[in-house]
Amino acid sequence: MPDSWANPWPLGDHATGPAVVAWRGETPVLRETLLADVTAAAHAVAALDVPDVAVFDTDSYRFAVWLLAAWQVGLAVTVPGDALPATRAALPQPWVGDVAGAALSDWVAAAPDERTPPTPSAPSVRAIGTPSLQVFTSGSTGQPSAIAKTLVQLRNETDALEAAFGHTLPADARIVATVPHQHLYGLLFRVLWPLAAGRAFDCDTLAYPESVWSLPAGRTLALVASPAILKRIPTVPDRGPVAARFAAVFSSGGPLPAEANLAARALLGTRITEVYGSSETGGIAHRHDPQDAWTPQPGVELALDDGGLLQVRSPFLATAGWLTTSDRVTFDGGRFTLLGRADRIVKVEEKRISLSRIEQLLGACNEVDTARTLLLSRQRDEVAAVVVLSAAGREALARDGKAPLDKRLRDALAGDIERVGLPRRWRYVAELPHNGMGKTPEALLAALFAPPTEPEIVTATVDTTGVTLILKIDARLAHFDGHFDAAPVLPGVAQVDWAVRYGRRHFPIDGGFTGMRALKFQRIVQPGMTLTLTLGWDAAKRQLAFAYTSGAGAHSSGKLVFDGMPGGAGE
Amino acid sequence: MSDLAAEIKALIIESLNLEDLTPADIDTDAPLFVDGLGLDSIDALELGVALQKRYGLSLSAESDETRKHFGSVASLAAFVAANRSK
Repeated sequence: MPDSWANPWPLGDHATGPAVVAWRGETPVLRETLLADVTAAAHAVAALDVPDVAVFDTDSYRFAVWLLAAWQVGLAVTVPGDALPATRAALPQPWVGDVAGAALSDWVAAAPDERTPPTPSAPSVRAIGTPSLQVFTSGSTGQPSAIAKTLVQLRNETDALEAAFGHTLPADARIVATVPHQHLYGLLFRVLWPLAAGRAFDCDTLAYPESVWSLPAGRTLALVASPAILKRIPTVPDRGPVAARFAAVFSSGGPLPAEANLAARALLGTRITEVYGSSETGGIAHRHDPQDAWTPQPGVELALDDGGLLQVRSPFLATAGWLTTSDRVTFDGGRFTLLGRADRIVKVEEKRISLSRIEQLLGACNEVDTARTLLLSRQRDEVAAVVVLSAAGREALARDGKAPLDKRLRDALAGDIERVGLPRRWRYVAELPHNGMGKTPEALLAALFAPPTEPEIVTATVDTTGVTLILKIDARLAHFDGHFDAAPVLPGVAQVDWAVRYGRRHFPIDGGFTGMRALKFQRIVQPGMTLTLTLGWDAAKRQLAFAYTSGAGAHSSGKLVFDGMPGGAGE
Repeated sequence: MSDLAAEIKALIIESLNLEDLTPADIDTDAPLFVDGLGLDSIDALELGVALQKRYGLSLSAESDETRKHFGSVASLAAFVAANRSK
């Protein structure tokens, strides 16, 4: 508990000797330096003569100094998740830290008469327990969801972290992180908890998965990580064993797939402690093995609402009552299993993105009539958009082409939506696909993004002898997937399949496909080719003759035989 | 445009699975991230791994320096040419 404003975040007993609170590279920052810097920064912040500030600094130590200084003089602190123009505009209070145009970007060493901490100015003194920190949900949308925290809530939470995990961390364990301290997870795990527990934290953020290979071997580390980094660590080629020793590895911010968890565990040499929670709720539960159910954090009570949603009550919450999450769960004793989310907030590589907000912003664009968005999870998580264009939008598409219009709409969202949440795939449709009940289920939207299984038909000519189709063989065809990555070749079975499909479309073929004759594959078919497919139907022999040719010559040909029974065995 | 720049453009499109873009649409000197091509932080991770696989590069953990190399196709091509091991 903070006992006075002069000491808003009591520091733990740092390891004896020269007590190190932080590391900048291999240079230690001592506790006495921290105290002097906080005093100097407190004078600078007090001189702003405002009731609240926004703190944004990419260096964790400097961030901690600003935060403690502002609290010491009784200011409310907002910690923005990013410094995007829309965020800057939404937070008009002075910003301090390393952002362009900050009201304060540096403190000067305190003059001799300023070595006593300034006292809070009368109007801004707050009683212990009123909100003193405002954070934003990660990947905040254009209307950022602000969460107010009191120092008591924060302290309760770091106490719970120490109770749950402290015994695994030696006093001299050095805290390294891949996640920014500008969101609650990083703020708690890499700054506030280490300060309270007397452990030293690194000032820099590990930006890349390969950064773990450059961590020093000599010291015991605790890694505060995100699934985005952890799941890519095993994909980094040819690095050999990781030299650093980890007392613990934490993962939070989104789900970590079990396979990636185990691969990262093998490389890092320690199990991954996943922490489930949110900026609103703080930590709710943890597990050390992806097979396990989730164990509640110390002090957290759980319940189930009528809709199967998890409810939480804990000393980390703003109120004493139950808070209903958007996660569906089942209980197993005191532990639980997550079943999925119940709202339209999706997580794109750990960032919470509001699909509703993207749709709302797109709907406000001049080019757009209606927009629907969805999350695709293939090679990576990505947002995809299906758009019905306005007259102006159709005009722009005809005039400029698709890629420029995609970019224009992305740019229109860029000031409000985190970059990883911007739609990466776009489909422009005359109307939204819908089912028999007039609804547009997500599966119908997702189908628009599936790789095509048929080539584009450039022209189709029907005459007395049969049908001639000009086909464009696009590299995105599903048939090229894995066949083969280095040298894609259209499989013969696809050529036969298309002949059957188009044959059925143009001729009265109602029987089942029973066999092939005179099949010849003479030349391979590769992406980018234009093929001519000729089809002829011999009704007496129930035989479909096909031939694929191009400027290069004949590719394949054959005769496909059908039986006389309508709806016969499938092909 | 150098062959290497063309190769890197193809690698960007292929490894990031970008739609509706051909190498000709990517400006060799335009920024890859935020403005210009508009790639994001996850693309940076994926592209980093793809470059390491293709060219046997070793990316520095010093993020400011790495960020400079990732500025444009031209700067990536220069970086690859100077540091490739395959």
